[in-house]
Amino acid sequence: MNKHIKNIYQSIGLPRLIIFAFFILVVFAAGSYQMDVVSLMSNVLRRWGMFGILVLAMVPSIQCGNGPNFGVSLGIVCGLFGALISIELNIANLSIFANNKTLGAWVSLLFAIALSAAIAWFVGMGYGVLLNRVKGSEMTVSTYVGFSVIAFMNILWATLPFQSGDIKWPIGGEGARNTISLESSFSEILNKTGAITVGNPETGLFIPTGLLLFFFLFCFIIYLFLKSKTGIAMSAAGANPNFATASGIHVNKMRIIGTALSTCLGAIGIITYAQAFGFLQMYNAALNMGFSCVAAILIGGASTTRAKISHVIIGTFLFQGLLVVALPVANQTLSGTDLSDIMRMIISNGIILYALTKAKGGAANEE
Amino acid sequence: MKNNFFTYTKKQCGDLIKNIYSNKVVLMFLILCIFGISTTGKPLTYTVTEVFTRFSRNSFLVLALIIPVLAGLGLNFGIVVGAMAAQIAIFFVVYWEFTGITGLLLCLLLSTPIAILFGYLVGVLYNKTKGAEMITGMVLAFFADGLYQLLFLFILGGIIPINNETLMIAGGVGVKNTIDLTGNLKYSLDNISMLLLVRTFLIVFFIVLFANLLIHKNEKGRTGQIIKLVLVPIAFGITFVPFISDFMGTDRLLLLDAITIACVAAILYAVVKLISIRLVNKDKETDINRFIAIIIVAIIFYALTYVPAIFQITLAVHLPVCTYAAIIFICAFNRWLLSTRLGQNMRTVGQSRTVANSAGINVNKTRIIAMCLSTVLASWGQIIYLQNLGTFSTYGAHTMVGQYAIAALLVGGASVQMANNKQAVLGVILFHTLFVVAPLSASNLFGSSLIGEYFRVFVCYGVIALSLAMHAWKTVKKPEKAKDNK
Amino acid sequence: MLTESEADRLLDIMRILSKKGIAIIFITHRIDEVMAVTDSMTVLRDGALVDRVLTKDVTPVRIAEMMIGRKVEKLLDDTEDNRTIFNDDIILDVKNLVVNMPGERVKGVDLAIRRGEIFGIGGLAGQGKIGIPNGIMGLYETTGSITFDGNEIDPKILGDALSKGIAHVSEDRRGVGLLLNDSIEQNITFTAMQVQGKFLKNFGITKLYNKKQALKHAKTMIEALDIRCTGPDQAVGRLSGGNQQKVCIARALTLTPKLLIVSEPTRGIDIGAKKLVIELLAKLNREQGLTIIMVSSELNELRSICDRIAIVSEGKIARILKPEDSDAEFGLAMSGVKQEVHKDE
Repeated sequence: MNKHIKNIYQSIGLPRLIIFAFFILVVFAAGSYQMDVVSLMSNVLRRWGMFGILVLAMVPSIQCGNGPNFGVSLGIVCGLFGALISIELNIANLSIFANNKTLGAWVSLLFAIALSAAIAWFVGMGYGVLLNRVKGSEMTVSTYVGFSVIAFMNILWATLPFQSGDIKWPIGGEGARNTISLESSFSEILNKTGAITVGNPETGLFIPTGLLLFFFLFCFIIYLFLKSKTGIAMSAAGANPNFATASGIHVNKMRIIGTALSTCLGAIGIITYAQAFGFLQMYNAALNMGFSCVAAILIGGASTTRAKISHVIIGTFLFQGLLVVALPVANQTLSGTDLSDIMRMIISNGIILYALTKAKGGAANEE
Repeated sequence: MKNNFFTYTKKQCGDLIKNIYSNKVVLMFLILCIFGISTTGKPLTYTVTEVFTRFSRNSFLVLALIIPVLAGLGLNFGIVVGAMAAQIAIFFVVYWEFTGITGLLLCLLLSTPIAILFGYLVGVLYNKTKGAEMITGMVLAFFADGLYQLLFLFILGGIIPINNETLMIAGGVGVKNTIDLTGNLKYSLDNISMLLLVRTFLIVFFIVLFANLLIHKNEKGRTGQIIKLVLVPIAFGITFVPFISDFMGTDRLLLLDAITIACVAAILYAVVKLISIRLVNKDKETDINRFIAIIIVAIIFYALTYVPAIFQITLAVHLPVCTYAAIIFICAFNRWLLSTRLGQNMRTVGQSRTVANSAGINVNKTRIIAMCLSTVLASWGQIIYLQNLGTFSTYGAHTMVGQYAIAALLVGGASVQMANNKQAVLGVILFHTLFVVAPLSASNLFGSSLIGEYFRVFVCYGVIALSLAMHAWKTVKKPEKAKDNK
Repeated sequence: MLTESEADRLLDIMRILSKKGIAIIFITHRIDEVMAVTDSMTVLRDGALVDRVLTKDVTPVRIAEMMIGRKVEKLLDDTEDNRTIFNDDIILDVKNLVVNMPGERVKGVDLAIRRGEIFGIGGLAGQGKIGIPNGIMGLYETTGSITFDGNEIDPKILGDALSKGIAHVSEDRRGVGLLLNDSIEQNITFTAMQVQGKFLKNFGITKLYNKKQALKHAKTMIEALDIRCTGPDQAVGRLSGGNQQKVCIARALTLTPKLLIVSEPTRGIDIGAKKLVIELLAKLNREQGLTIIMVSSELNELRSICDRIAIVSEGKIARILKPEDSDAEFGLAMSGVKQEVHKDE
């Protein structure tokens, strides 16, 4: 019996246990403070679906051997770009959709996704070539390439000639706004599609079924990919490049595929996120997203070299759940100060640090 | 003899150009800077003054990054931690209302043990993540930022009661966003006059010489030491001569004067060396071209100051002597450290941990010592930075410290594995010139300084990304090349 | 690796140092150099002391004998050998193979392997024998002509040898041979799936892994090779060395190859498992006619099972010997002694 418990403990790992316990604790605290636990839970579900695909983008990158994709910002800017084009072309409000707003919103969403995924695939391939040349330093290079790209795109956002009223500043000023409302395009379309409200429509648990199904759909697609011949080859290339080469697999090619896929998912992910939020966040908002995604998948049980779909689902839930529930509780207990950002920083970065100390490949095990 | 000299000059110039050309980052920055300077639309004096100010403010921090690079820890993104130590110290010194030089000394005294502790912790963390130190440093910077904000926003005033309305947010819990240092710590280092500096230095030197003499009673060269011992009080006496004490009583040295003194000193040095080589030692073989070159370069520099445009600039720029002395100190310290056994150990650890281990060096301990040293120097650097800036942005002062310092170091031509003083200094000059010039230039050319700002940030991140990528590229290519050559 | 003149200089320096009174311990396998420079020597074999002699009292042949030793124990019981091997039925023809494998460089090797035989390649570590299979499989920079069963194999194309029917069991079991965190079934079926498209279910646009089929095959292999495990789902990293080796062999066999190259098949395996692996290889050869090339540093196992044994020294084939040839001949060939006897075929 003891050995059994010990095995479970070892497979879950100490930090996950801590996070999980913390989560339960905070939920109870919320209850004891008589907070609206139901609305908190609705929020958790919403954020779960929102971030899901972005965290999913980590999986191909980790599996192909490039480590967590800190440079998912590349995918994010592709997604932002696609979304901007969709808004600029005002697809949602084309005359065809005059009678059916939902259809219009769906089409504009899908258009944004398709366009940005296509761009992201090419960008991701180029990025994969770069990462192949810097084997061993993927994490550092990807972080800074990510930052540079965001900084570079800032220049573009500020100078590209957008015409749409939603994008431009209302009173003169140059370039795109900091946050662009998606009201008139595809705001919350996924959330609302097929949504179920358990209990009272006003105060009941709001389950954004459309969003969650969309998230699970992509999880399923990636799951199938990982079970396909290419997917298995890619995972092997990441686990043991020598083994893969000995079986006739081009390791570099696999890494490029993994990176391209990851960038694509990043693009799709940011659009999903934006539509759930209702706003498109431009400029420097994307800087810290990479770190949050990495932290989420690590919390879910992944390591810097292996990641499964279950890690994505569990990790996003725990991470977002913790943030959503812990903050109001913290604000209650320690009144006055807004610890939201601080908590996020400490938890997410702390988890990543812990994972880095546990990384295999001689990191902590030398001497 | 003349032929020799010409070939010597040609060779030196050729080497210099080859060096700059081979380092693409330096070249690119040079071009960008020149382009930028010419399009600012502001007078050159303004640009140069700004650059000099930023130079004196930021160099110390950048120079503190050299030690981790040599010890194989790569670019220390965790330098933020040292900055935080300094900021904690500054907060308390301001709270306890110490000002001026006392305040400064107290800051240094307080921040050092905190920085040593932080450096130790970071070193332990780096030892657990060997091979991934840089990404660890990056993540650590964010993590530590979170903890720091916890401290300043919640613990100070909340758990530790601080009773001061100017410092704390209304409500008593949490420190204000900006703390104004005018009146207490601003310019505390910059304002130390040369006179005070030189006198303190002479006194310390005297004590050290005296102690040395007492301890090593039977060593050779005693006469030399006694001569030095006697010279010191003489030098001390000289400082009382009215002309000199007036001149040195100021805390800011005019660039013009600085250049003049430097040129004169260089010429004197070269002449003395020439005489001693040729006439005293009668040594016909040692190459004297170097000293002739020094004399000529010094004369050229001095002549340049007569050009009206340059004359204007040199009049406008004031150098805070003490800060520059500090910068010279850390350069000398870096050099000296490398000549000690500890420094050589660090170098070995940096090149190959396995070789160092087989040579009996305690790799983990050496790395921790390197981190402690670097963090302490970083905290002093941050103090210098803040005392010159005059405003302490509580939650923002440390965030970009790491990025900017590392970018500056890389711009100067350093890499993840090699860095020296010259590269740091060059890097600070280039980076901060671009920093000053970019928004001005952009607003002049495009009518929008916003683009310039974004461009500046892009360049900062981009240079780090480029440098990391180039370094990793080379590391992957080298073993492949070695395989081919065998 | 030193050139000849550099080696001579080193020996001269050693002589000078020893004249100054500095004692030198010279660790080497080169009998020539030992004879040239030492005063006395200690011979070790398999980690145990053999003898300590003065150089003037001993000959190169004697040293070679001491190095090889004479083991009475035979690894393979005398089974029936009903094979017919034709001398001109060459399944693998290698000419002027040069392989740039760091530490095991091959500098020009010619081999002609007959169909149905077990061909051994032996030699000391670092002399190049491991480089030969790695070169043929295209894992390192290789030049040379390789003709297999009438087809030409281009070592520059990744996986060419695999796709044409040669399977390789690597000497680096854990590093190259296995995915340690994956299950037995995943390991066994991997290469066949990637190279030959086996164990995949076609779904139109994509091919997905057919786990049922894979498990069935894995179970067959586990039974056939007697792999001791808790089941085909067990992670390969948990198995003992011998069983891991069997998984590697199983993976190679799943390709149904025409030629099997095994490098260091019994390295790091206990004596009981050693015997099993050797018997398995012999069975495959005798019963199924599988041509086997066996690269090993243990001369004893080569002599138990091989029909011919090539000794590699300094990146080239020194000699090709028969198992019953004398210990001295093996020893001399391995030590790169310059006195050349006649090259057998």
